[in-house]
Amino acid sequence: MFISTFKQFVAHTPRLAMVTALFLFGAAQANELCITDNRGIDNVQQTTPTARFTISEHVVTDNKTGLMWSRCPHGYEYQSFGCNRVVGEKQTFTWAEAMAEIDPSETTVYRGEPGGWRLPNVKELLSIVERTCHDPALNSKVFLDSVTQAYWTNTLSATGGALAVDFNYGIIRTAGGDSGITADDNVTTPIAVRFVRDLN
Amino acid sequence: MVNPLTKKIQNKRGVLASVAVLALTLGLAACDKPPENTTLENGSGKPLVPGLYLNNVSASESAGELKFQVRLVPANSQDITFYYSLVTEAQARQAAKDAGVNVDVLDIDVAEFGSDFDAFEGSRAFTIPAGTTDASIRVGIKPDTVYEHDEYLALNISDASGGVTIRRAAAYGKIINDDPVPVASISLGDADPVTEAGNGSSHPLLITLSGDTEVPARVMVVQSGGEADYASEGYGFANAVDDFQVIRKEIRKEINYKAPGGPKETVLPGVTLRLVESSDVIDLNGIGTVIDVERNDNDEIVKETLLAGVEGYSLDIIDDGLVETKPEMIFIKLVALNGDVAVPASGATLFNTNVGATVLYVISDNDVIPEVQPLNDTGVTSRLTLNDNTLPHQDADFGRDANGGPGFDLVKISATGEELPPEASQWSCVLDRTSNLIWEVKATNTHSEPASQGINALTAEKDMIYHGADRLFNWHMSDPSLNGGVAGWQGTGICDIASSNTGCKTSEAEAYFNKQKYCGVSGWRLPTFEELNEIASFEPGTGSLNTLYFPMAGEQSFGAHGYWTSQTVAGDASRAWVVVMRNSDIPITPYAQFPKTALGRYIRLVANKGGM
Repeated sequence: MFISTFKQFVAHTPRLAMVTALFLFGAAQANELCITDNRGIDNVQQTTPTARFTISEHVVTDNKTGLMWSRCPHGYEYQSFGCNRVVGEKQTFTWAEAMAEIDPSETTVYRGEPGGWRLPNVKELLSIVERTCHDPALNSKVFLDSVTQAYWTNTLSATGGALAVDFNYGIIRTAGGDSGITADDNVTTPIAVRFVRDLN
Repeated sequence: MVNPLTKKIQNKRGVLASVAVLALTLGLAACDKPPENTTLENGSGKPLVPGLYLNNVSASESAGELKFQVRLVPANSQDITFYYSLVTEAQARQAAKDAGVNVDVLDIDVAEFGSDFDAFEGSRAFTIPAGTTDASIRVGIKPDTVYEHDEYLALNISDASGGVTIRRAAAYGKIINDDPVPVASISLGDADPVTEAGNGSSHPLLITLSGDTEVPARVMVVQSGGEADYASEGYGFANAVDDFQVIRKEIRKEINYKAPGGPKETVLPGVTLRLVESSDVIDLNGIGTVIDVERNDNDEIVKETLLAGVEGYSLDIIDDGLVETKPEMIFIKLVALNGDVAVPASGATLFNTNVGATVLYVISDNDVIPEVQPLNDTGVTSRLTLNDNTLPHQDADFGRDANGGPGFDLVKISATGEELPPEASQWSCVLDRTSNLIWEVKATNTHSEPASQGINALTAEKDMIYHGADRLFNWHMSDPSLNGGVAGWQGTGICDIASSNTGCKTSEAEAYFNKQKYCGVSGWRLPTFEELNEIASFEPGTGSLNTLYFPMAGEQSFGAHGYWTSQTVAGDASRAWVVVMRNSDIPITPYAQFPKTALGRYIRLVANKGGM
């Protein structure tokens, strides 16, 4: 049921088909499209109003959830103008690579902040989706120059493999169905990673 | 007497032409060649008819007098008497005005009778002694200490005796300014601190001109740098994109200021920086504000004329909603528009805008850190194994689930809002203590068997409709501030048990719940995408929802129609998000987008705890 619905949607939305292709082939620089002007004053309710966040250069704290996020995807570094691809580092990872990429121990310092960095679970990653925007579905003041593609979670999928959240529209990607990802390649497709840590 | 040449060039335009006009007005004869020192003869060798020439003269204020040279060619054997008179100031001004010259704003000026030189009225006789060719008409200069333009006065001669022809009747005298250039200071007043919440408040910005000048001071206010000086003092720098918007990058206010003299300090009308809502900006594009200030001899402002534009400029302070660590600043500074205009004689700078010329607005943060509302855990306790390798740091290794605790903290709620024990057999809602959301519990399939799930029996038909687990609804949200611009289903079908799911609107369900104050709260609404996922478990082998608390949740027999969310799809306002929840061994919550007007989906309404 769902598969056919998705295909139907793609058929009606050539842009999404393109984005889906990008999802498979790697990083695309984001050019965010929002219903409002990001101030939440138009005709929709923002899901991630900027007021919720305390922003530093490299990291941002979501004061609602108590989670600290890297503002840039892994393999990118914060610059005053946005996120810069780090030469010589990978920007996409298989699920196993992503899981092994960081040690969540307290001695690991990442983005200048110590300890507890890990992949987010599916609910955590969904919590930063800005549903009034797409390509990417993120608050661009909080998460800079984010890549419009799927990001890994550390949550397994009931249909095999692991779950990802695709930030073109802010949707959960699961194995065995949507966007053409099969159960077999679900964990071997290299996609983006954004690490998180608990503050409490 | 006004030189008749003036009238011939009244149609001239432009400064150069204007200077020429004034020079001519004041008696500069352009058509006669200057006389030679030798006796002129005509072609026959006979002497010319004696002629009288009046020559232009320049002198510094300190010279004490202007000596207009009069030359008689050739010398005469008898005394020659003629008369001289001053071209009056009024005549000179009027002539200039008639010619379209504003003498006040040029680098020239008309000398004032009485104050700049020894004036006299009428005509005076002057005699050139016999045998003399040169003589001087002396006009006394009254020196002053004011820096000013060079000033001109004009003299006419007439009615020469002895048959002498007056060949050049008019000449000007130039009184050259010898006073040093004063440096007038223009400064900005102090700025008030501004808070982000100060939208709409008005903050005057005073421009002060102090010191003496007879040259119009023209200044411009600009939003400027200077941040580095303050960066170390605990301030952030307000960003012209995120924190405020200047309608024009140059906040420009030109002031043409001219004073007759004497030390003074004048406070001019301020530029008002109006802080306005972002949607209420004033478009000042292409409008300059020019103010003319006229003063009388007592140095009092007689008239202020707004020549163009409007008072005040808009700074659009944006409440960015960010919790900021530092107050932020906007720097404003003055720039002298004619500060580098070359001053006659000295070329010095006219105005000093360096002193106190920078002002800053401090934007205080009005955002507060919200209360922490942690997320639910995922309910996942299984781990993914790849090639017989179970990687560490999976979802199951973190959170409440990992510690053996319940993934969710749920409480049964009665129809009137009381919390019930877990073993309660009848309940109407479930409170999620983690998210503080109250969820409705669906009743039995309204198209099949009567209620048998043990929750509160539904008797009224409306209850069976709006709480029915398999009842389908059409998306409708009338609030234009929330519906993304498309209200959704506008059909007029009947919503009753017999209507076969064709006529029920989500907005009607919300209204019904609220009217009932269902489970003791108001504010019932469609949930968001994230809220529906929040209440779901992602553990393989379980349903989306804990059926001990949420019976009739996404029965497979219903088909996976999914549940409406409140959210319009970004980029396609005709669609809304739907989350598919299943009561099966595949508890995934895939997404879907459906046209708001499509055939119905299920609903599971939610309200905030304490919502009234």
